[in-house]
Amino acid sequence: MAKLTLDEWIARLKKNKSFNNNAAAVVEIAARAGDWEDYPSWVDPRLVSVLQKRGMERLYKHQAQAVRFVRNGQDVVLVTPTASGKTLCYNLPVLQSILEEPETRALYLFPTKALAQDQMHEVHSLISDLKADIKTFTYDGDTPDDARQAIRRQGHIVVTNPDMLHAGILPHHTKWQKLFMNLKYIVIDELHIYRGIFGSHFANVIRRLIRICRFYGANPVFVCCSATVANPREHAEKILERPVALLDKSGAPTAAKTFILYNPPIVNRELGIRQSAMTPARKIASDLIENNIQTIVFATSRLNVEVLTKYLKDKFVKTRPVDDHFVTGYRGGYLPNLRREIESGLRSRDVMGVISTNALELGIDIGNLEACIMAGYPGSIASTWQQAGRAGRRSGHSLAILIARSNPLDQFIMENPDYFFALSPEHCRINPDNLLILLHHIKSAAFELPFEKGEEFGGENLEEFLVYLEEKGVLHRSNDRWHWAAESYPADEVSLRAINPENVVVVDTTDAGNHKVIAEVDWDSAFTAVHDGAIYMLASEQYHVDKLDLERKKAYVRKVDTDYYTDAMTYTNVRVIDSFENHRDAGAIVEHGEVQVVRKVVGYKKIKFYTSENLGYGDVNLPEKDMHTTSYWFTIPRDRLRKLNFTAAEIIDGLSALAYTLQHLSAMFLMADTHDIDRSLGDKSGEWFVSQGKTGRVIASFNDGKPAITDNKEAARIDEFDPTIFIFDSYPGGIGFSELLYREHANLLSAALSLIEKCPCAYGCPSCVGPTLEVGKTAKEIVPKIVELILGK
Amino acid sequence: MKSIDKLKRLTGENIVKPPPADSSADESQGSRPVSERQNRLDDLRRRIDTVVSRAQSHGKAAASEAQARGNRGLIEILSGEEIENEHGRFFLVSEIVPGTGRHGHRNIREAFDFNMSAAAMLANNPLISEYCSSDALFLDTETTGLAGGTGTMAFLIGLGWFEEGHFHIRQILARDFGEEKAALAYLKEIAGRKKFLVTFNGKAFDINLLTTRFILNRIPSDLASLPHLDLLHPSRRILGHRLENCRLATLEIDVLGVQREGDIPGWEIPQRYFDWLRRRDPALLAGIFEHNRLDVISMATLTAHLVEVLDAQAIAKYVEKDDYLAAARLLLKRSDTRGVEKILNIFQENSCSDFSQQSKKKLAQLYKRTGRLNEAAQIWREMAACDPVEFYTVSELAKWLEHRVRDYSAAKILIEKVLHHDNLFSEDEKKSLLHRLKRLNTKLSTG
Repeated sequence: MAKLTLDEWIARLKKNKSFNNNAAAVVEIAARAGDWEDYPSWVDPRLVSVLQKRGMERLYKHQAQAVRFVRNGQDVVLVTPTASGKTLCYNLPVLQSILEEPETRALYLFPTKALAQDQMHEVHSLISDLKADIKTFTYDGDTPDDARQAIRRQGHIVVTNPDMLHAGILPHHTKWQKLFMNLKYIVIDELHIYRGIFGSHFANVIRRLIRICRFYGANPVFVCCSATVANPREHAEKILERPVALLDKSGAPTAAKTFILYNPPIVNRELGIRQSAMTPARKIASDLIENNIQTIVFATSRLNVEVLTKYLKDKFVKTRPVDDHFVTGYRGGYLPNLRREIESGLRSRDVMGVISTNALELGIDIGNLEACIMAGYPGSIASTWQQAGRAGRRSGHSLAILIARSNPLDQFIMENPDYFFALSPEHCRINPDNLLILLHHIKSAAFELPFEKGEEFGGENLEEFLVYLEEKGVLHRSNDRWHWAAESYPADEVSLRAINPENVVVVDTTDAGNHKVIAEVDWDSAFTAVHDGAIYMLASEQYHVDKLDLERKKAYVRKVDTDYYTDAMTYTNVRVIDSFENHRDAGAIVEHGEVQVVRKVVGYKKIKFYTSENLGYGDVNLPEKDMHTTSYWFTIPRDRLRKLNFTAAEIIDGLSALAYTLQHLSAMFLMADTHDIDRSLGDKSGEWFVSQGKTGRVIASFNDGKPAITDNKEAARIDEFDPTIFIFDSYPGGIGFSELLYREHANLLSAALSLIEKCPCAYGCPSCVGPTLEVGKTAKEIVPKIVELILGK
Repeated sequence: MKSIDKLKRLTGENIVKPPPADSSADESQGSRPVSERQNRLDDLRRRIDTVVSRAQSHGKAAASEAQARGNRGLIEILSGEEIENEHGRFFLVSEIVPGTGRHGHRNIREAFDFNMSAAAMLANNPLISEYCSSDALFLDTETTGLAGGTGTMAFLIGLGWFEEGHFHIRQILARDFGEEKAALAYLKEIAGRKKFLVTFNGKAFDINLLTTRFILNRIPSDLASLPHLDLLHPSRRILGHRLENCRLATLEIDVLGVQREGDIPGWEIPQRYFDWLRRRDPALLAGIFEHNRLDVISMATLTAHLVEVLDAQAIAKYVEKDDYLAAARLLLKRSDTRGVEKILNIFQENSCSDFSQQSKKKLAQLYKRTGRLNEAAQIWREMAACDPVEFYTVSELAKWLEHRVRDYSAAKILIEKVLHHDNLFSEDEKKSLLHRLKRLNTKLSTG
């Protein structure tokens, strides 16, 4: 059969009836002509000639504008699409400034080492064309010790990441005296990545950076670049704590793109279950690859990457004996060598299909792919556009298909394509004044320079913190200055990204004489991914976990060939510690505040490949994890619920269903990842909680610190406690979500009501109240009654 | 609610935690109870300190009274004085150790006036050879930690120098963080009168740290650009072969003959200073002053000792032959053949028999590399007498016979003999000997 070109392939697809029935939207994004401007007269002719030789005859309008702003010392945030020449917006003024004044220094911050390397190579090649004596280096954990001193003294442009700035540069700023005294530009690329917990830390690192600059009398200009988000200026201003100019009109020409939103068919109308997003993803991807159309598939989890890779490998190995990397997976746990190999395979088109997590979302150079399939909404619109941008970065027609899952967020996007294609995507939210985060950075800042009385740092009363740290014996006050007075090195005490910087390594013991480390799993995922008995999947091989040794931080696995994978079951128990604020709604007491969350993995399910049949269960015995965080919750008095004409078990089902809906809606309201917030149903004292057991919902009491789980839900009586729904921050100390949810309480419940009422399913489905099998047949009927009760309608 | 109270709730400080839910949690983290107990103890200690300091000080007036009392105590115990300059006050202890004073194996006077070209060689900095020993500033700091970075302060700076046959010591103490600037300014003043620095690990630590402190206090300083003899590196080179480690304390015991009594361990020092800041008990600092004082004096005698070894002048009782060998190798590396000669001359007067095989090999190598092949051959012969089938000895002797003595048949006999003997030669070694044998045969047949 003749191969189709991408245009022919799309034309054929558009004629396909069953496809059209399920396409929620097909949008043709037209190619757009560019808008150019001449190089400003002050740009060094050498620089102009180097750029012109690279095909940049003139500047795009937004580049010219940015360059002018930066030249005039105005902090800017640039929001323009992938491949619109963002990097030139800072490289040009920086290089120009170094050519004029060789002492000038610039600091570039990228969220990952890989991106920093990429950028360093780009600047480096510009400089070598320029034949100027300008030195640029990356400075990160891999930089050899003997090179560091030269970098500190001589590097004109130092490219690093926030973690290194936090733990390696700022606490040693005196060694960087030369850089800080001459620092004129600070570039922050991928600004939107700095949101949530990472962003909250990052904003504090920037506070410290500005404080150190001030010490050396430097007042650098900030150039920030961001993917398209709703509040780039607000976000930049929240991070920099000063006014920032927004430049968001791209002058770069763009190629045409077909963007399809695809909602898989409902396979079980009764249960409202749609076909898994993985099924169409697999079919479309294999058809594209068969037509020699180079394709990237983004899956939402590591597990899905492995499952999809296995499916596609099975297919292509059967039909044609091809090179092992013809289709391949790609994700964070792969070792660096393998990843570099895959990246270059993509550029050379030896790899025709790659299945990735969001690890390939950011600007790692993988060349020019033609089609992008997203199996599941990536969780944010910015990510969706960045993933879609991986196809057709430079020119030519390209294709992007977003395939929805059954969860409310995905379905919301399918129901509201305008929301997606119009200019109102997600907000970046940070809480730099999260008390734990702030406290940590106050310690780090005090280590870097003593605090003076009257100095400001963050939005809280600094002196209270300083006195507190003084009482703790960490700071010492002398003449209205607080000095670091401890032997420790505070920057080492926290990781900017993970709650727990520790990892578990996965050791393959298949070959008894030759144990090999095959992957790393972060501490928190280890409990659900590599518990005893789990099937761990890597590069579409299955491994059985024989033993998870938490003390040595190792998981011992052995290669197996099974027809199932495993899915961990956890329970979550929340106890109120302190209520910051509360009000009585018509039918509920609404609060937000401080809670203690205890989580435990209790077992796992074995799920068969392809059919998703449940093959059985296993037990897991792992320690609990304990976290303090902030939560929004509301409590419905039991006597009111009793007046509803339902059984106790049905009411519990209804409340669980409502919690499910609220969690997903909250993620949307907050524009946050659903992993950033979590839910629980129980009572305020933490004595009772409801969780998903082996055979359905169970109520457990939590007495004397020991969970007593009964599988008989009739045995648990609703009149034992006043049910409380908790929606809480997944991060210790919280990052400001809870207070917002508390304020939005009424809107949130109204939205839940309308979502459930609008949903076309019969008894409830994953798109509204959750899967019927989990929430029971009456959930969809009872939830609106409960909401009305709460809102007093 | 005050944010700090919220914070305390967040960190769990105000909460009594329920007991662990599951006994298996305890088993899997067996180390936890110990560290928790340690934490609790630390916390308790801090609280006691807080209570004590609160009891001592009601309000600001009382606090400054405690401070004044602490300062008076210091003056009494350490017989020091308070010094004031344009940047404020600090505390200074001055002492003159008389030339007749004893430190380990030697009198102070014997450490004075060391050979400057040897000192320059130790520092690998020729500038130093132009100065004299009284231009040296011995420097050692006591700090609030070893972590490095901007959050570590040198609260005590010990200085020493030779003057008219005596050893002068100045110990500069910042009694509080606020006195640091005045203390540093005084250091700068003294350093300005001296030409070069002598430290122990000062390149990586003390001078780095002081440079950071000068920058933080906005005092321009050229301390880091002074010529610098860091004794750690030459000590490791010359003495490391026979020491368990190269800490100054180890060198004192094994080389300098210094026995410290009641010395406080280095790791205790930061916490003692932090305790002083809270309690103002001068006894906490007294031990640190003595520790620092001994460090400074030991650096002076260590310098003298290392210089003497390098200069082939060390007192025989306190030097080992391998020290000299190591010194000669150091000199050879710095291309000082005259220095090497001088050391090798020591050995000529000695019989070689009391050397170990390993040392003989090193010595022979030194002879060979300085062109004294006959002496080298003498050692090889001795070595061969002990162990006739050692590859190094055989091949060196054969080379010497072939190229220098040109006695091809003697060389041939030697090689044939060892090849017939039981030996442990590797394949490569055998090959090389056979190759030489072949060449010798050719030379014999043509010659």
